[in-house]
Amino acid sequence: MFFDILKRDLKRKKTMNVIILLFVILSVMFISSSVMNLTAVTGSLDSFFVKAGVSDYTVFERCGGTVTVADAVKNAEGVTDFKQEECIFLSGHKFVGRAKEKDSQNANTSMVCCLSHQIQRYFDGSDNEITEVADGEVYVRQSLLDNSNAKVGDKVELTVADVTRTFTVRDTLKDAVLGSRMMGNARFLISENEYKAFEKAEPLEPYLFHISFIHTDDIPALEKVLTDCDMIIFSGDRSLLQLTYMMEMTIAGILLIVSIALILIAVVILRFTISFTLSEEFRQIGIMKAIGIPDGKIRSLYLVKYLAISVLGATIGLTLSFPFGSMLLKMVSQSIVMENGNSLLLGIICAAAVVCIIVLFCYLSTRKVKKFTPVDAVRSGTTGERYKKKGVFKLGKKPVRPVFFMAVNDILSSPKRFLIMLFTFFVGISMLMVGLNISSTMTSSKMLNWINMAQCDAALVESGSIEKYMVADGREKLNQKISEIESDLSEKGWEADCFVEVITTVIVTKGDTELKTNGVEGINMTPDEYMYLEGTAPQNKNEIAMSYIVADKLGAQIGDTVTVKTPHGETECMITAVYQTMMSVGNNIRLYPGQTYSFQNLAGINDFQIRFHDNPRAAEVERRIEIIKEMYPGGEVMNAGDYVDYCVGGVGGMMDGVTGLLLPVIILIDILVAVLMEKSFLTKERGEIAMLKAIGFKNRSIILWQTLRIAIVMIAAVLLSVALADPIGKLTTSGIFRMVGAKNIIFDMDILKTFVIYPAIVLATTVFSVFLTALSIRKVNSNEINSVE
Amino acid sequence: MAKILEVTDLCKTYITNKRQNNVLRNVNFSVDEGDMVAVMGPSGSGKSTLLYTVSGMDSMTAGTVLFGGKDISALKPNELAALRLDEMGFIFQQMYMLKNLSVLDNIILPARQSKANTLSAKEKLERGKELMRSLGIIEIADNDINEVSGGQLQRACICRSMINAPKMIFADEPTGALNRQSSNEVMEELCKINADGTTIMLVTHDAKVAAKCSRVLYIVDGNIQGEYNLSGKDERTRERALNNWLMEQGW
Repeated sequence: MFFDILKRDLKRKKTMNVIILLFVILSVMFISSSVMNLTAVTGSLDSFFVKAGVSDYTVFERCGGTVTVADAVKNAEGVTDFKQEECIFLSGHKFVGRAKEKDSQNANTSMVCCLSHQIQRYFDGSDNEITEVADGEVYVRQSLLDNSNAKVGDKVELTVADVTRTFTVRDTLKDAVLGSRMMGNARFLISENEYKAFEKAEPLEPYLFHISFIHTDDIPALEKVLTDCDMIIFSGDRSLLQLTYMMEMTIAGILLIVSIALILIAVVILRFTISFTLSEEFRQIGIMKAIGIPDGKIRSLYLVKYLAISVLGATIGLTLSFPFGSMLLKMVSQSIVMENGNSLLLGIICAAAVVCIIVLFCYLSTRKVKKFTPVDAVRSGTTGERYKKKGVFKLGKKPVRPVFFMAVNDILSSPKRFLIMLFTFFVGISMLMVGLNISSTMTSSKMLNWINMAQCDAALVESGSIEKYMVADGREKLNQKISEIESDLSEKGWEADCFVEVITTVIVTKGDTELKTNGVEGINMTPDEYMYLEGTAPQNKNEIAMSYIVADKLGAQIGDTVTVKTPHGETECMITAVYQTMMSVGNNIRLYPGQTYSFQNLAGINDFQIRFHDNPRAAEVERRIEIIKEMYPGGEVMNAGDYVDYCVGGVGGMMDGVTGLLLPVIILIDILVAVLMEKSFLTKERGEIAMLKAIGFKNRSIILWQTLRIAIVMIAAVLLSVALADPIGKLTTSGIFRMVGAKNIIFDMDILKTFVIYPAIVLATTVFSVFLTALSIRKVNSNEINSVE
Repeated sequence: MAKILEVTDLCKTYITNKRQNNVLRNVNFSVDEGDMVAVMGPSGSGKSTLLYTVSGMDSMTAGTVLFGGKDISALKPNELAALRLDEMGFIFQQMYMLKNLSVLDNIILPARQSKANTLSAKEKLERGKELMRSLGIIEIADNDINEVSGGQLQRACICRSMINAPKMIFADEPTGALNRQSSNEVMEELCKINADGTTIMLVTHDAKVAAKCSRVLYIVDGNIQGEYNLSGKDERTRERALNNWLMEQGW
């Protein structure tokens, strides 16, 4: 009898059981693939660094310093090994696509290297170590190809001063030190002969630099001696380099969040389904009790069913998680040599955990069986003592359509049931909105505040800028260029401010704590144009602002005095403000204009930002950008949003991909939940539907009643998600952004996309699926009224 | 008297497991306006099917059914629904009402849904209350349906069937789930309604209930085997007379 009941149940509630099965499949697929990916990425990152031979400490240094890294490390305690690789900065690079020529990204952050100088090991797209590069060929990282819309096989022109050579992209390059999307500097790996050709460039010295690989037992001691080096443009230990792969791990992290949300939804749905099934089967349970079947046996009937569904779902989900995980891992594996760990075992553990959670939840949910008595079987599911007030509102003489009233009244009469639905819709839509908000913020001009840059309308990226201004009179030259740009724009009838961020390496000391960091100065821009978390902008050369990360490292607060050391002397400065920035993973301080004493020692220079005085609309900005492109054919001109995305390594585009993946998943989840709920209602309300038909309600009115209920809940979920989008976004993502230097997130929401288009798509597809499900009421005959339970 | 329902050569066939089951075979009868007709017969004889088919709740296989002169087999589903809503009333053995609505709201629901009923929302509410008052259940107007007794609920169902002032009420074993006292009360109300001019056709197993009607149709194997006219018969003897006739029919 036991299995007969089970068989009958599986057959009768086919759709509901299939939907629960789908939920289990999705949950297991997502959780297994994301956990496997997350562990694969973190584990692989360590093994990749070991395989590549990345040292404990890495330093990028320009040539011509008064104290070089090679000299400094001689005095450092704990250094066990020191090696240097020579590279040459490019003054320009341009991809020439198969179909048409495409401009590359800013060239002054790219460099060429060759294998004969190599210290670390490089790998190609198939994870094979690169041991030889043919003349005329080049290896370059995938993200650079993506940013330039280029592919393997395309041609690229590389320029160093007066030497330009053309190469064919042989394959992608997996470069542990410079391979992440967040790393501004990209490496072109070429042959020794080609490298020698670039060494003949005139002038060469401004373009030459070294990457030092230092093995040490005492990093603080090493950092202390490196403070004397005046040409360091970047230095960091292994963990800092690993942090730059953070964005590569974002997808795996987001999928993990989605998986947890899915399990939550699956469990909630399961609880709903079980309690619904039990309340529907009061007669069967009552009769089983009446004939003496114990509670435990009755509960095991349901437990066996859900155990079977979860085991089947977990097996399918686990199987699917491998191709699904590989698909998601593809982007990450383009920059990291992946390690084949014991992912199957991990996947099995995840799948088993999901099964355990579901069965445990099922066990808890079936406690309701204890409450049923044989009396329920003969009293339509209620004993005399447990009548509950159902209706909340009275139709009376209210001027509403009865169908609408019935829908609203049903929701308010069974709030628990509809709250479950509201919760699941809300979780799904909120996840989507968080993704959309991150995506739109990452490509909006407001993001400039997150990277502590002044607001602008457009940016001009000019090839080889840094070399032009890394001279004694660099400040004058830069100011002259800025004046020229402003004048050129004025001639076109556009009054505008042009400004640039320059970066030098400084040492900040507070008490015994000494920290090497970047000093950022806005040329032709006052410090009060930047956003600060606390305090006021520096007002003179004895005042600075600093990122909260630097302040935390120094243990400094606003009002404290620190010593800012440059190759040209020391200045006592008071900290007047604290800000956030994602640039250099939050490691920099803001200097007052003129505080950058020597342009010869510049560590970096950003691009020419343009801010029009007349606050033009977006369309007008785009029009002007097209004209500016013609004015400066050698550079690249972009709007503020694209510039932000460019500065943070195309993360916005990556997030677009994630939200593109989330949308169908959320739609699928919402549809499954809605159809499951509607199917449950149709089963339970068959008698009421037959009665309504019998007394003359048309099919369309009944379908409308059924659809309206879920549509109302869905609309409420959308409104709730919209209202809470900002706090939920901050709650879920603040941890990630805090790690990379931004703790006060202000989302720039794309109102149309976030609050209208995407919710409308989810709403429309879900409601339509409910409508299609509700069409089955046409099969209910009014004469069934006496035959339904 | 004008005929409100004319049934000619009505056939209804179900196909179950590839086997043809002729539930109604060339049924012919008519109901006059103001009539109160009971349909009796053994279990499985086709009583309920006859009621559902002539009221347009179920489709027919062959024959014609004219309701108020309209051929219901020619009506589209929406037209049939409108006919049931505005011109027919239904009472069932299972006292089905919407669980989330109060008793009064359930009663006025068909009126609120009807486009033909031109009364205002307030007037519809008043009519609902008036019907409840006349059937003696006004005190349960605001109750939920699970807070009232079976007899009260069936009287509420009668009120619902009357809300749009239908031409005819179809009742399928209206007293089948009630005790004797409730059953008597319900039948009294139906007789009152009939006396006020509403035509009633009901299916019953109970000779006591059928004896309250003016005419009894006896159906066996999908055919009307006999018809017994009770009108004009003495109140005290009609039940015995009906019983005798039923015994002759094989009851």
